[in-house]
Amino acid sequence: MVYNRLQEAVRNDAKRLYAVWWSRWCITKYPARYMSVPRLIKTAKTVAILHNMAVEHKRHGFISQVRMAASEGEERPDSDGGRMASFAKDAGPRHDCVWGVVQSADDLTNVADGQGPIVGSARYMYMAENEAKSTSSHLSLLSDLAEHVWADRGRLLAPYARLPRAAE
Amino acid sequence: MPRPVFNWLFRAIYNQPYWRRTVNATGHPQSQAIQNVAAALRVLAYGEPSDGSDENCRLSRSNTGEAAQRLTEFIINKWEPTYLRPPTDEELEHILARNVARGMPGCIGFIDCTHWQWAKWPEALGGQYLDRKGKRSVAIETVCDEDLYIWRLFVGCPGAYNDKNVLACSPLMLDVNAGMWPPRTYSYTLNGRSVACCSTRSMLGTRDMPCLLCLT
Repeated sequence: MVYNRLQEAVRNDAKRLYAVWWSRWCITKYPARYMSVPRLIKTAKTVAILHNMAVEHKRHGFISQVRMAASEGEERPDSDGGRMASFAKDAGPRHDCVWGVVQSADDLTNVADGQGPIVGSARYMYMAENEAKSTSSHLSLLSDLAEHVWADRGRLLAPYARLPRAAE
Repeated sequence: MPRPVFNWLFRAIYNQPYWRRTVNATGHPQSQAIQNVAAALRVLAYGEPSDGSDENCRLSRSNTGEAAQRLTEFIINKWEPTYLRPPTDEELEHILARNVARGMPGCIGFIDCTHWQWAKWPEALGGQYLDRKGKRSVAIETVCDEDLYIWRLFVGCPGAYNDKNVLACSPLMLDVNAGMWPPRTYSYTLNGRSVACCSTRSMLGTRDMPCLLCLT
């Protein structure tokens, strides 16, 4: 339930985008009056580009910061040192796979030193497709995520939901 | 549209060959660049018909239509590589960090589809572009982030497609299936296990995305 709420909140962003976009660029609110698909595509792209510019200007958010830092060649102000540790950048999965479907800690220790398929080969693409569409990894990821969210944010729901601890 | 963005756009465009002020055969000066740009932007931003800016910008219908078309082409040629591209590594790291702080580890973006209604479809495409509401429309798929910055845009799918079909034929899905996106070098820890950021799982889908692809 916590997970559901959080996902709803996050998913809102996707819906909010359209609301903002529609109200800022009314051309997408009315039925399009162009005759060909390429023109529709061009118009929508233009509107998206202008929208991105406007967002970048309005928010002074991380995008412009990142852009500025990139252009000046400076180090980005690292305000979230603690948070950065929650994901890791490494040399990529060492398994015989593309992204590495859920690995456990022991898997990491006895890694075979196989190099995996060559990037771009037919076998690589085949494996990537299989991994992207694998049902079991999706389900395990889903349950993991639900548990993570419960552990992380479950207390926020305490006034509303009967926690298992409270019932005992 | 914020004024600095308009100024920036105008400064980039006003000296281009089509937009420069010219003198016609009878010696009369033609419309100014700002007239053309304003008319074209009014078409885009207010959804006016091409002859709507007659009163404001003093341009004829055909002039406004042409200006709008040239403006779209100019903007796409000039800024598409900058403003409509997948995030670079640095930006991706920032997106990931922000989403971890929100409680959604490993989330790269939020994906959603919508339909843009189409008034003047060619007769030949009428059946293909018929959407579930009985209107003709074009599907738009976007991936955005918390700031509503659009990272990926996919327009042009027939309106008969639902979100799942659109996703299946979008370049995003092709990239994922070819193993080109997301970068393979990121992983995060979830519930004690280390998980790679794979975008079918790292894009938050709505409920009508197919089960395999749907969540984070």
